[in-house]
Amino acid sequence: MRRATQGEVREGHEDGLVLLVEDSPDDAYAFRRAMKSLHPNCQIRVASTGEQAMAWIEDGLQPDVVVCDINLPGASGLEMLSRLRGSKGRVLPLVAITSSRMRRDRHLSREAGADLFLRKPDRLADWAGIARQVCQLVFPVEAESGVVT
Amino acid sequence: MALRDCGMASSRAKSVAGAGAESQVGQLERQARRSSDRPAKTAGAKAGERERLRELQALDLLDTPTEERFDAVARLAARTFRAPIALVSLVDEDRQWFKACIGLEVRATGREVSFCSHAIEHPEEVMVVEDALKDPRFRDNGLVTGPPHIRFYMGAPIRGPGGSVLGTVCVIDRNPRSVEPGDTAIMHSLARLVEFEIVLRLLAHEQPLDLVSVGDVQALDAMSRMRFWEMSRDMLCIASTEGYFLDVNARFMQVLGRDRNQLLETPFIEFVHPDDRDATLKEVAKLQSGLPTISFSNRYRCQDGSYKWLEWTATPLGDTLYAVARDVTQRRKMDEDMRQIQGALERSNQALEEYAYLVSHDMREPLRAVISRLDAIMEDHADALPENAVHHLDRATRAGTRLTHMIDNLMEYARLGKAEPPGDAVTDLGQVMDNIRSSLNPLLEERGAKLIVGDMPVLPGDPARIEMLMQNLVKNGIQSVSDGAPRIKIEAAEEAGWWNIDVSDNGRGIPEVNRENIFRMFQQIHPEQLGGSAGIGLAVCRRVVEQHGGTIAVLRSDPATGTTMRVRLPSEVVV
Repeated sequence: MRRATQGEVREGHEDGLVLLVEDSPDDAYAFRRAMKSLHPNCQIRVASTGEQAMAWIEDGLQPDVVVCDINLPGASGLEMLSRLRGSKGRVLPLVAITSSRMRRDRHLSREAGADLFLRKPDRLADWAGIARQVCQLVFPVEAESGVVT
Repeated sequence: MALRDCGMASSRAKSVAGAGAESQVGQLERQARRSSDRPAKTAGAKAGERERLRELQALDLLDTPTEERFDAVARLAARTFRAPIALVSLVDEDRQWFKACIGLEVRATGREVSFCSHAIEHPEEVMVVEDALKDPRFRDNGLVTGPPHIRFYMGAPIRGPGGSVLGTVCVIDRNPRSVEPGDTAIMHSLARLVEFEIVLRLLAHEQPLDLVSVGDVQALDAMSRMRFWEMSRDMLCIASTEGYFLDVNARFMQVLGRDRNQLLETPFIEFVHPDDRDATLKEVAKLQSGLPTISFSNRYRCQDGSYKWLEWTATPLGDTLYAVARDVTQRRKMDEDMRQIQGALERSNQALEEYAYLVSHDMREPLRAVISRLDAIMEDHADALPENAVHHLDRATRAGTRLTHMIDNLMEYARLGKAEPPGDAVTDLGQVMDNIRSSLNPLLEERGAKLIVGDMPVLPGDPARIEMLMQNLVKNGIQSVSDGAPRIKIEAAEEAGWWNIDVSDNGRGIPEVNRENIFRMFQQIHPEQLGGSAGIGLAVCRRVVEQHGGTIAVLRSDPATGTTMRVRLPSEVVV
């Protein structure tokens, strides 16, 4: 997991860049809304397919965290996670999210290389919990020092 | 062959019937004038000799004309061993009498010079005297020193259908000879052949009443056995490992619609369905190696071209197979139909489960979107909306939430359907309740609910499913409380091989009429209840309990004090 240690110069995105891979505009909306309310300056790019996300990264996009729905059309989210894990090593934090209630999803996500496995909540307010956990990956120091709660 | 089996069976029957035979022996003793002047024999041996003579007489063989059936065996013996003399000799009280006789003019000799008397003392052995002049028992025997100048003797004992030794079939030479390997086995077979002919002769005479009057129950037994063969509802056959039937019974012919000649003249493998031939040959090879067939099925072609499924048991004895077959065509067809129905059922169950997953994911998605957009309106614009609009939004959100719960419960119920039996898994109910307390913590806090857990046992069962059960019961209890803080109490007590687990709430109670159907799908106790478990929760509970061999029921319920649900689970693993 990436740690912003003292003296390190963060490349590009002062306020953190989150790449969300999500085909549901409603979930993308809920996630963006929760992230913005927690961290108004963070940037969120939403790719609706794994292929698009990979293309962006190959073109030089450098997200601080990738949050990926594992039930995507086309190349599955799990496949994208393991490809990213393969090319980026342990540097890039990866988060798997899903609305499915299948128990094996957690295991499969861990196997594909996800650092976190989160279930999408039903209620809008509960997305705050998701946002909080994602932010802890992007802004570990602030989170630990209590700047962001 | 068949006879050997038959003979063995009869000797067993005899020993079983021994006690009953005693009184008959007593009777016969009086009427048969059997003298006790024979020297130095034990009482048991004397009784055995009496029994033997009684059977010999009852068979009505002594002093009867020659019969081709026995002459044929004697001829076969003489030819086989190139012996000048061959006899079927019956050992009477004080003489031996030849039922068949090749190479001798006389038909009887005194018992004191009889070789056969010696031979019958060891009923299971073939007696061989290679050179009588060198044998102390016989070198002074009149039949050795004078005509017919016996030097070589080989004789195999013959048993009657009642089990007594009657005499021998023997070959005699005037020159000393040595036996070759296999000779005694052939001698044995010839003796079996004579035994067979004795039984056939009995059957041909068909005089059961006469036999009974003589008191020979055992001879009747032999006839009963033969009738059994002919009348059996099972298909009986004797076959050679060379691949032909040697004999088949009536039922055998009837089932296949074929006549005896056809069955006996065609290699049996030709009747077997082409697809079953390899397996059949393998089974015959197994029999050849001495192993019995316990259960083997193949298809036999009937005269009309159709096939019948036969289920076999078979016992090998040398090169001969004794086999019993049963026509299981009908049963196989029913089994096949059953398998097809089962397969269809499984496929439909699978389709149902796949459908349940689809429902879970694909239907949940838009529903979640509806709810979260409604949430967004409420969060962002509640102040700007008229009061009744807020009310409508609230009701819509609750209804949507209830629908997601229903979908989740439906999923859970479907998933339970394909769950394995709990096996020998063990559940720590205390641990389960701890888990539930933490996973339901948000709900408990929201409702200000109290969860009181007594001493919990460790019992047989799958922890995941037991947790599902208890969680549903706790949630159900909480939801039954509409006013005030829910108070849910869990207690467990052992009672004669069962654990009674009682879950009590302080809710509204369940009307008497509903106490059974609340465990059915989509039955709501209180339809107006919002965010409820929508009636699947208790159906899930019942499914879990039944999978564990237990029961669930409303123990008591009252609008004033609430409801107690009782789950009974076996305290020992259900086998």
